[in-house]
Amino acid sequence: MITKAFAAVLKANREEFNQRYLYARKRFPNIDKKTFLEFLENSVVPIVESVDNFQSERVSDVVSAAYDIGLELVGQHLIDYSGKSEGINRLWQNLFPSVAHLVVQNPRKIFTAFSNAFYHLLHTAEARPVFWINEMLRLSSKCSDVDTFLEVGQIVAWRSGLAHLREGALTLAANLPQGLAIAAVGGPVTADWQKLLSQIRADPWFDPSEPEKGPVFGVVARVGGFRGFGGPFVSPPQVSSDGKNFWVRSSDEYWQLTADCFGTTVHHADAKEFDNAAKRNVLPTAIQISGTTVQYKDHIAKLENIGDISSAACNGRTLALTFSQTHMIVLLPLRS
Amino acid sequence: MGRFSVFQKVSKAPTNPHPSRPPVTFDVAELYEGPVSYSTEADLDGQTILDEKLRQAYFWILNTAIISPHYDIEYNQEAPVEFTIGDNHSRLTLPSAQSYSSFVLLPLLTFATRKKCLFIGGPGRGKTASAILMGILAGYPLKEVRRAMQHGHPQMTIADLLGNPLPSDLVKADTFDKIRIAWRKWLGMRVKIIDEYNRIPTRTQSALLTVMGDNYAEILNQIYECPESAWFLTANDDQGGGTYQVIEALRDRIDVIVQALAFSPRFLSDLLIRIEGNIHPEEVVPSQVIFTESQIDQMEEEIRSVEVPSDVRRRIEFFSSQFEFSDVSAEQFEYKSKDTARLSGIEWSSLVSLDNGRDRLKDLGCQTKNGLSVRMLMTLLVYAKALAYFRGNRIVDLEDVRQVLPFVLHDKLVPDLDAPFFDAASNGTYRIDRVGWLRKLFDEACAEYVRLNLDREDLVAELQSQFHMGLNGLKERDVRSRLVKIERLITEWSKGNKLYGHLYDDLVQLKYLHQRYTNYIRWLKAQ
Repeated sequence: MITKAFAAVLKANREEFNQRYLYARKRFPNIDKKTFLEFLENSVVPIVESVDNFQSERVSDVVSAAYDIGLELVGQHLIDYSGKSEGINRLWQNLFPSVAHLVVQNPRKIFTAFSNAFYHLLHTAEARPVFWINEMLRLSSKCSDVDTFLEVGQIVAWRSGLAHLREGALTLAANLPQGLAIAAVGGPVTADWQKLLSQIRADPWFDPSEPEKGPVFGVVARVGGFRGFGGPFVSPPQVSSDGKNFWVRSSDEYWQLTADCFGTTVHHADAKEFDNAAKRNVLPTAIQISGTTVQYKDHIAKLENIGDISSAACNGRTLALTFSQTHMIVLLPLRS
Repeated sequence: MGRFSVFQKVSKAPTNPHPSRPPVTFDVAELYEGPVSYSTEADLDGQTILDEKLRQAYFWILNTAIISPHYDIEYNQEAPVEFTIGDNHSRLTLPSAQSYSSFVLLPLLTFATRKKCLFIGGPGRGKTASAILMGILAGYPLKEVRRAMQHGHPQMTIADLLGNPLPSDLVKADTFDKIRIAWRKWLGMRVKIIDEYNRIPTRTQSALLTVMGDNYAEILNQIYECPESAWFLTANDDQGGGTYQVIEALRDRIDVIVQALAFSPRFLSDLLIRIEGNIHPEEVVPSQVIFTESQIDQMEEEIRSVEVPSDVRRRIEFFSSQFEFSDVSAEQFEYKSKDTARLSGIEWSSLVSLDNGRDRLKDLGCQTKNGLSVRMLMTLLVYAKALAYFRGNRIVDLEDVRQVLPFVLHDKLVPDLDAPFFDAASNGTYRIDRVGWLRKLFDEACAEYVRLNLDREDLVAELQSQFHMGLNGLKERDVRSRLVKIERLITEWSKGNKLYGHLYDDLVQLKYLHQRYTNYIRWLKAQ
């Protein structure tokens, strides 16, 4: 139900809002009017209510920004109230009404940035968008300005499964106030930040929320899958590593693989990177592979029912294996 | 609340992405980039990439302001798909790379290089609207642009155009320099618009010529120095129509001519949206595509620094050498030019009748009544650089030259419509289609250049580069050997009995080199 404050803004700028809709219809000829009205009612109203209670003079700007961005989201079919798929509306309903103190500072910036972030989380296999929202709700009270909240959002996105953001997120975390940084990486309140940060940097499989958890040699992640079932690969992949990054070849396509304790991602790459890495792809002597068995120092892992190991690569902290009978890449941590 | 902010969407950068390798590292900032664009001025930080901004301006104008679906400036990465349609075998090509609409692109390049652009075409096709948009891109408010626009009309006086002496000073002053002038405001603007310039009386055109050509205005001995500016002129008719004949010198100052093409009825819905929404594009130009004065300065500097590689430069040289030569215009070698004939006042047909021996169909020079001036060549180079810059390159490509050339030479290279080339059945269209003819002319010059293998075997270029290494310390023996080389080359060429434009220019160049070496030997002997 449209509230009084919202209705007042719509009424006062009726002609302009109508013009914006007309133009959006030009940009997005298939824009669904019903969905847009639902968006205003279900997703924008709670934000407006919250902002009205917090700082009523900002309602007009918030509505203006929400209206424009809503048109873009609905125009691109990124809002879904049917329940058939997860839409960005979940973010608007669950996060923004609870962070009015930040929304009022720069509504357009926060709506745009977080909608895009949520879009990436929704479209990354294995990422956890709901976890991201919950964490942002938990951390919002510790942030007094939008820019800090955006930086925290980037760190939490890494922890929500976007492993490729790891380096950038840690750089951001290193520059945050200590208490907020610990909270953003999910560490214990009492942790020594510098020690925690160096532990995270040293070991991609170190989980800051469980710093005491010891090393275990075993499968920590399975990445990929057959394209016919929604995965990225058309044929069983091969892996190589230049000692730092993992590169994957599947048929005539190439990918970069990133992985840590929070998630795994794959990104398009080119043949050159794979081939260069393949030339330098040497396993440490501590790793022995035989059929479907891998031995690392005194630890042994048996990987059965997926065929023989077809390729192996190591970047010092992780062992990546591919098999003859699966489109998945299996990852094992190498922790001393 | 930002008005019409949805209408002000600017294309996302990069607007002309160049092939690049996938990134090895990831930028955490990419998290906040995605399907939703953040379009406020805050987007533009200090490090604005100006060619990107120029492209964004182009795409905003094309997509939102001027409805021009005519992609006549075609680029291809691979061979384009071509179709032949209809009884006249009309050729439709589907370009395989980012291509552009000349009606939007050429004014923008003019804006960036601060040159002079003439819009031609029938009424109501967006000529004036385009010119106004250029004023707004330069940062002027719409009202100011409209007020500063000069509308040509038959009663327009010099005072209307430039300003008036203050009446009180006219009475009191005992010398001219004591008369203050109330200069018209438009003279100080960085974008100048003259609407329907062919309706301005001849005398006032002469005053306009001084402003256009020399960048100052003069009334009663008082001078007003104008800032560097881009000029946009409009005319319904380029071929001398209008109320007054446009003086030749004024036409010559115009750098490019661009034609407003017809409105495509398939875009009527866009017009409907404008009517229903009461939207006027010129009122809602997004701030992201408005340039500051320093940005325009910087952009012009960056364009000037775009490189023209020697192979591209040679093609331009070869092309331009085709046209000025006229074997029968003079006895002395240096005066064998069409300009000599023009100055003599001889009838063109009489001159043509004197010409015999050459293959008038093969010789490209026979298709024109004149050659290329220095101003035309300089303009061509500037626009080729600007187009390369606009496309995000820092080196001019031959295709950049090919694409801008017809707009630069549109009104400058005058076709001889009685030439045998135009009599051929397949070439009849070129009597009307100036852009197509000029492009064909350039293509044929390039084909001839390739046939002569000048990319690999350019003996004059070799001699030239040898000369450019300097004469200091060169011994007489070496100089004499070079002179012999030049004489041998001329002897060899003189065995063929046909003299064409490019050969003539090479011979003039050889004579120049010969003379410089001869003088050097004389100087050596005097030491």
